[in-house]
Amino acid sequence: MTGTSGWVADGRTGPTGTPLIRSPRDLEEARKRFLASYQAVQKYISVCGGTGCRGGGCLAVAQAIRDVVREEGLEQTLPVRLTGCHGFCERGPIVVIYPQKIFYQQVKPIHARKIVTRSAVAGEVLEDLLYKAPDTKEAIPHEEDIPFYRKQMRLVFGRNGAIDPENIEDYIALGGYSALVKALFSMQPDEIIEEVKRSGLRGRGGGGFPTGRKWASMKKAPSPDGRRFVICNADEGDPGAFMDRSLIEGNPHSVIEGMIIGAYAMGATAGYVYIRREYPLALQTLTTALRQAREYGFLGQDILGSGFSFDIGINRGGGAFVCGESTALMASMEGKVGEPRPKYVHTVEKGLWDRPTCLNNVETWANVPLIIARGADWYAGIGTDKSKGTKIFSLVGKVNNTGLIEVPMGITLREVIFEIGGGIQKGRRFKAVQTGGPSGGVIPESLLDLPVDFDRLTEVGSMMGSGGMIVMDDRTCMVDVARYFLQFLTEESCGKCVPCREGVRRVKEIVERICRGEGRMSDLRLIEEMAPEIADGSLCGLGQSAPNPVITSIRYFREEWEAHVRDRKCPAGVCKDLITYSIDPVKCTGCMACVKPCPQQCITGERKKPHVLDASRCIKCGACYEVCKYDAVLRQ
Amino acid sequence: MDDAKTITITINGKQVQTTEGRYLLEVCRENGVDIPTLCHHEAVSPAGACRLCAVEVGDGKGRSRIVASCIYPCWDGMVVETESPRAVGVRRLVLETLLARAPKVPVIRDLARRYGIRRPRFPLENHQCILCGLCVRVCSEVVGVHALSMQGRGAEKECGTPYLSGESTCIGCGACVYVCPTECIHMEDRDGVRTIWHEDAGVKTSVRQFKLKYCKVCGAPLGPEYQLEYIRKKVGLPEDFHDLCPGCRATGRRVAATT
Amino acid sequence: MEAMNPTTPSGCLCEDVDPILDRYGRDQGLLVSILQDIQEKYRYLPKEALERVSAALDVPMAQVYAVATFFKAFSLKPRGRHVVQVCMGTACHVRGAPLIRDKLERDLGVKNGETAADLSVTLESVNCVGACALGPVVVLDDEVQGHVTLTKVDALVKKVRS
Repeated sequence: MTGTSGWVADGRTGPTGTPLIRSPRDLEEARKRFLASYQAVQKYISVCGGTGCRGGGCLAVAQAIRDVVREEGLEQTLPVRLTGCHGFCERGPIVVIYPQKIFYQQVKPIHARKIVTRSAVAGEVLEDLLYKAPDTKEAIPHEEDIPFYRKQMRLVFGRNGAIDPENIEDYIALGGYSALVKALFSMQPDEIIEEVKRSGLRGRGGGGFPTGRKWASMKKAPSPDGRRFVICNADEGDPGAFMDRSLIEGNPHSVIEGMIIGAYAMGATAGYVYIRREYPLALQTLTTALRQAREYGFLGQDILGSGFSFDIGINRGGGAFVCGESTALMASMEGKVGEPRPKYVHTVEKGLWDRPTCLNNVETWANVPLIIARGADWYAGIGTDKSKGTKIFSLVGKVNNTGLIEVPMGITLREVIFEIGGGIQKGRRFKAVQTGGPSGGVIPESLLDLPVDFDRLTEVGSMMGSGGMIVMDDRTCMVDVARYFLQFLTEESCGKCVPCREGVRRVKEIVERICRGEGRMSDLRLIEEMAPEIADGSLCGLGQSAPNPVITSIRYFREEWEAHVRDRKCPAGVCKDLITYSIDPVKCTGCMACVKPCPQQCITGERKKPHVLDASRCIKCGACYEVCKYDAVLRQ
Repeated sequence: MDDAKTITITINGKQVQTTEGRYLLEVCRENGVDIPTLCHHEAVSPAGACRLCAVEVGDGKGRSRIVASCIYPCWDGMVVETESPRAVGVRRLVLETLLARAPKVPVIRDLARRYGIRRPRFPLENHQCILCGLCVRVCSEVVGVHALSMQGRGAEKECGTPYLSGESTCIGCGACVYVCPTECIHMEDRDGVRTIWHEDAGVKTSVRQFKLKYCKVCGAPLGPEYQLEYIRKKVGLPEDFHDLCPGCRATGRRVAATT
Repeated sequence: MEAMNPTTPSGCLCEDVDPILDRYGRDQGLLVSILQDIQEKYRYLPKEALERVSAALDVPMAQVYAVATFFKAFSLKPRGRHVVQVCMGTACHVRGAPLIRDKLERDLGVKNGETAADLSVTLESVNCVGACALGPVVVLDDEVQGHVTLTKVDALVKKVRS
């Protein structure tokens, strides 16, 4: 069974019997017990189990730590918790020693013994595993003192590191499901909607539509047979964004609690989570969480004795970006092809199976319990005039501190990239930041002081989107990035409407030609002419926003486009057809490192003498560039 | 609808009365305003796929947007411009890209010429199918046999039977041939066999063949066996119903009665 | 001219497919999930299985086929015993994913999106696996490999070949 507190063991119920928690009083009693057992364990080792850290090998680290704990006979006194994502993926695997909260980064299994015996048991701080400030080289022992975390405001994401996502009792111990109790027992459905409206919460999935208004419309819409649905959109498709995945993997009950509150407010009869197939861990965590929520009485018949009944099912996506679009998502949930339909009749009126349906994304739902528990006024006090609360961003690309960050709306891009993100990798020059995924755009250096909120990002031609922030440096080609997004959109267009299917691929062809050095100046005008027509003519959001990446790129980086067209040059050294590799005889030390990796054997030279690269046979694979430690391989 | 509300809308400056919720394209056409379409047919539900019927709809207070009129429900006070620069821009984009895709198709060439497009600025291809989906909709909504679908996605999308093979639930009725605006679905009756196939970019796919049935008395062709059987079962006709053509059936009955 | 329009499948794979259908309560709305489980079982979607699904869910074959060809999760041809996925998310792209993909194509001898003739390996690109902080990312048989370099590709290829 799932619990660790002995709650289940005392035999009050089983998984198929009546729920464990049947009233608000039950919940408060249970919470006291869970909290007591949660706090009883003061000393423990927390290992980040997010996907990022798993990619870095955290499961092996956790296993090694557990092995040492067992060998040392410490199983009873030193638990090891595998938690959700801590956000600082760049530095993973991450291990934190509680209660001192000593933050170790880039941990490997060989470090397990000293982490257990010297740090957790003897209280020593292991200097070599601490994070070191890149500028001062000063070692920082505590998570909250690391610049990456200091400017953050982790309201939604904050509990990820503190709870075991597979154990509902951790969530309850830390106050989970109290917002649900408040909603069910001391608020009318309309009051809840009013509260969400007043909070100013806007949809975190992309468009930023006011959540409370959506809820109110759904509430008003009639259903012929009484069926009404709420759906959680976990089909996080924006490349470069992974906060929804981390929320489900790290704190699934916050999403579930939000959905139950919303369902109660809107009178929904069933709920679904539509989740990407690319996220197997999130699927597993969510499945466990839903089962536990049912066992404990938060889902099912007569929730907590309130008379309200509701349950949530899982629907797996099949790998189609367009299914992030509400009508396509719902078509797919009906067993049909994921093609959107025009939203002239809104899904809040006729959505899934033509019934009133409210679709919100993962992060939006996770905000709801906070708003209900702490009030709309508190929430509306955070953020900017028209964008309230916090937003989780995935800060990735050519930035030093990549990972997931949660910041108040209105923070500037400069703060995000240079203070939290620690600037550009390898001291290179910042060039642009891409937000909003394939619907967004690139933002240049001149706009770095832009406060980040829904409307300001739209004003500069980009979008909030689901919160991807991909940082680019002077080695990133903006024409190539535009080509990349057009390629992505061409592959992901459902193909139903002509402007998106035919228009976007034609723009892609033009940009590909430019990347090959076959562009004409009239091409830029043609793209600029087609862009508004594609936006106007396309059926759904995918096509309507498809021109954004290429248009912002031309708008802010015209010189680079002209260099490709006029000079047949790629200044960033990316577009294969426009660059050549060569070896700088001054910098080359003759170390021979590049000779062997070259698949064409086109680098020759003797040890300690400058090498020569035969460009006529070079296939521009980049192998020599990657291995050269002396920057002697030139790509121009 | 009993609660249908009469509303007033403005189309190209002219006030028109209609019913709330009706599709804008129909109302425009009833009022003599011509809007070109490629994926629209009265017999099937609108899809809003070709976007050729784009028009600009405003609230009369300066806010406007482009909509697909074939699937856009009318509302009171709306101001419609069917030939506004924005609407025409979309239509030209659609026609120019379609002409590049299917440069030999007469209906595309005519429409393109009407909007001043002679040569697309994109490399030409040799498709005939423009993926309007009319054949799929007529097959499922009108005939009810669901033999066709749009397959794949994006630019790779194609249209036909599952696996583009002859194996399907097709009954050989030819409704898809009839609705296809670009004449890329073909039908041929020869030597007692009906053949229906799709032809796009010079490739024949979804080739399906049907044995034809003839009147036992006069030998007049009656249609594919599958289709006749499908109709007979659906309507509940006697097993020998399709042995004779309608004419011989009338006389045949009289002959049978006298013997 | 017999059987010009056959609709009977040759062997329906019922023993394998029916338990999957039952697991989802033969719910039409769960067609995508059902197909995913079938895909997992066979590493592709056999025609007979699609026909069985169509009959059991009372969904036209044309619709099942359309869904099966629409979503990237599905393949109508057998996939390789190993599946190498190169993440083509934006973060991976700017950190050099295209060069990684090109090298995998060369070293595995398989074009992106294709399966080796001996069914040993399938190489495909995916549009973001959500491990952006680790870019470039390659997923080898569901295991995320982060910070992949051209040098590290050699080891990956060796793993596939072993």
